[in-house]
Amino acid sequence: MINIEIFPVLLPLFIASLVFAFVCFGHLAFKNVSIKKICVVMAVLSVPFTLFFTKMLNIAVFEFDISILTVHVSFLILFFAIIFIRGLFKVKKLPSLVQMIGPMITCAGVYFFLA
Amino acid sequence: MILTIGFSIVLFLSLWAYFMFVGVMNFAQNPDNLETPLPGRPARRTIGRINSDVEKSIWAILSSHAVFVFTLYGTLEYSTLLPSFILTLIVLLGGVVMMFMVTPANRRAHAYMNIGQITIIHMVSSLSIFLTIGAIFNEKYLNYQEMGAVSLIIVGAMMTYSRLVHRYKKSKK
Repeated sequence: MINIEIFPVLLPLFIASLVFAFVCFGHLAFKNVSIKKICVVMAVLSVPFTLFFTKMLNIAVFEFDISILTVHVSFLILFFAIIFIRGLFKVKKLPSLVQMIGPMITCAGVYFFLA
Repeated sequence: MILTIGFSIVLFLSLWAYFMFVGVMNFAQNPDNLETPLPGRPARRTIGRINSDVEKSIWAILSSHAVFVFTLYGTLEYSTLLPSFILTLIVLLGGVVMMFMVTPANRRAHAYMNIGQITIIHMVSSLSIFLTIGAIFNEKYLNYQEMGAVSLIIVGAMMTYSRLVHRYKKSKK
């Protein structure tokens, strides 16, 4: 049975990981812009993400009594899921068998982690 | 504690094995056999440069996550001692420093690998640092079930992005 302690903060975590994915990889489409400008823009964009994540972490830990390990791993899983779903829309070749088994193993890991 | 730290070190070192398997890093083979030589010139010999660039990116991403995890979860420990705006300021500073380290590292790594593989670097680095800091400062240790689950998550992610990176091959003609 899956432990549902993380569910109250799942949506804020998803938003945080979405913003983090954008801040991390959004600039890769603008390789003609100098790295200094990109760094400054991304640092500015990271401010709302940091504020949001800090607030959410405080609520998760002190109000809902969720362990920080669960919050952190869930954040990373959602971050990976966002990149994976983005990749599904951009895929050009049919994935190999190993690549199809990979997400299933990840899902099994998530199940055992939350169980 | 030793088990958790050892697990995080093994997790981090698995990145090298993964990138060697995928073909991003190459420590053994002769560049002449892997790259197309230009007319009248030897091969470009970029194998060592690729290894160096990818390693720099991995270490930069690890350092940036160390800064952010340390400031973010460190402020939780001192949330009763310091005013909230000072704690927020510290975390903000950590976030900005992280971005200044992560952005060039991501761009450098993207020259050799796709976004999914960079995501795996982020996941592994963040988990390794989090587990190490948690074990040393917060005395939070992983049990065997959590270790197995985390391993499955990372191995599954690596398998998802296990397609070999395109390399120039020396033509046989």
